[in-house]
Amino acid sequence: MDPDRALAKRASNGDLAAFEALVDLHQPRLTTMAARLLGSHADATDAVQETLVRAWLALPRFRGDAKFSTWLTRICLNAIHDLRERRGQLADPEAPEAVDLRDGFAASELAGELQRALAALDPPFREAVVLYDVLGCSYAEISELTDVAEGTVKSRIYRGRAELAQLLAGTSTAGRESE
Amino acid sequence: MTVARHPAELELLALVEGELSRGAAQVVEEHLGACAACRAAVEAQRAARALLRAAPAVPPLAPQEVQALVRALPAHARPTPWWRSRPVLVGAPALGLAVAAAAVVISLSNGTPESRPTALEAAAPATGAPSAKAVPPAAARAGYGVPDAATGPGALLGAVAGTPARVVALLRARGIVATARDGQVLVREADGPRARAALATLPSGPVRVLVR
Repeated sequence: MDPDRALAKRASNGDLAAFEALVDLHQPRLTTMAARLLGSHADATDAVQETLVRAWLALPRFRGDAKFSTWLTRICLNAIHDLRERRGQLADPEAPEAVDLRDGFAASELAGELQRALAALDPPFREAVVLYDVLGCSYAEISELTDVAEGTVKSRIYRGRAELAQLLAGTSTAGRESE
Repeated sequence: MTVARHPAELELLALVEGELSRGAAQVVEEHLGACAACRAAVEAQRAARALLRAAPAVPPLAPQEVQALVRALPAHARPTPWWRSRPVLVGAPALGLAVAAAAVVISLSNGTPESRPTALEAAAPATGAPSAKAVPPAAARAGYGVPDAATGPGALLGAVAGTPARVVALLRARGIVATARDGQVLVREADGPRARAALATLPSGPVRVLVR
């Protein structure tokens, strides 16, 4: 049973207070996910705001097939992909790496070693480890969110972690030698 | 299991996650005792797992940001019961929101909206009206002021923190053509309203952004 079902139903009927309650419940998680995937608190805020606007507009069509939190997370992942794509297309090669200008905590944390290593991972691996280890999603949820089989999800988590450990250690201890 | 036959990656993952049966875990553990490479791989998994799980949560949107965002949501997305339908007088900001929202075409794949304009684009008034009501929610943050008027060439759109290159990158990322010149940032007149909305999300600072 989806714990958000009642609120989502009210929100889909235009109840702003219900929508605000849902936002209060879920936006902290979405912000963390977006910041870890994008590496910038400012970009994360943009992505989350966009997510909320998209979700509100799409709510009348929310069928409840998936849990509300999964549905919302998927919208956020799409918003993150779109933002990253635009960044890729429009990035100024001379511009410095995006860092947060507004929040001291996020600026230092998101400029840290872990975040740099995360940023170096291939996006599917980064997504897998962030969803699994940072957000605590299950394999099944990640499979649903990313449209890949659970086996692929597990493999991405394993390889993402291995690469992350390697990047952080600066050595190849994460890799296994084949005999 | 012998040293020559390494466990599969997914077996090692399952071991780290505590998902193996007792018997299967014992077999893998025995292999680890004899295989330094697999032992290192498992250690790497455990180290990365611990680091990721200990990473602090990122500060969420402030309550006033959420409130401002929710209040600025386009009203037309809400179904209106027939008994409440009546002609509605809309002010310029509301009209701007409605026009912008109408431009947001939602296409659903399994009920999920796909690539669409940013929140800024979706919520920003099409006319660039300077009213605070018409500015995107992020602009509601205290201290993120932008000038009230943005008109012809030379008009000041905002003065924000960072470097000219950084501000140019931020504006370009939002599809706004911007160039850095003489320590200032110039944007096309047509992009003025959108640039203002984008600048409203940044803290005030020394980098002046002008209409060229």
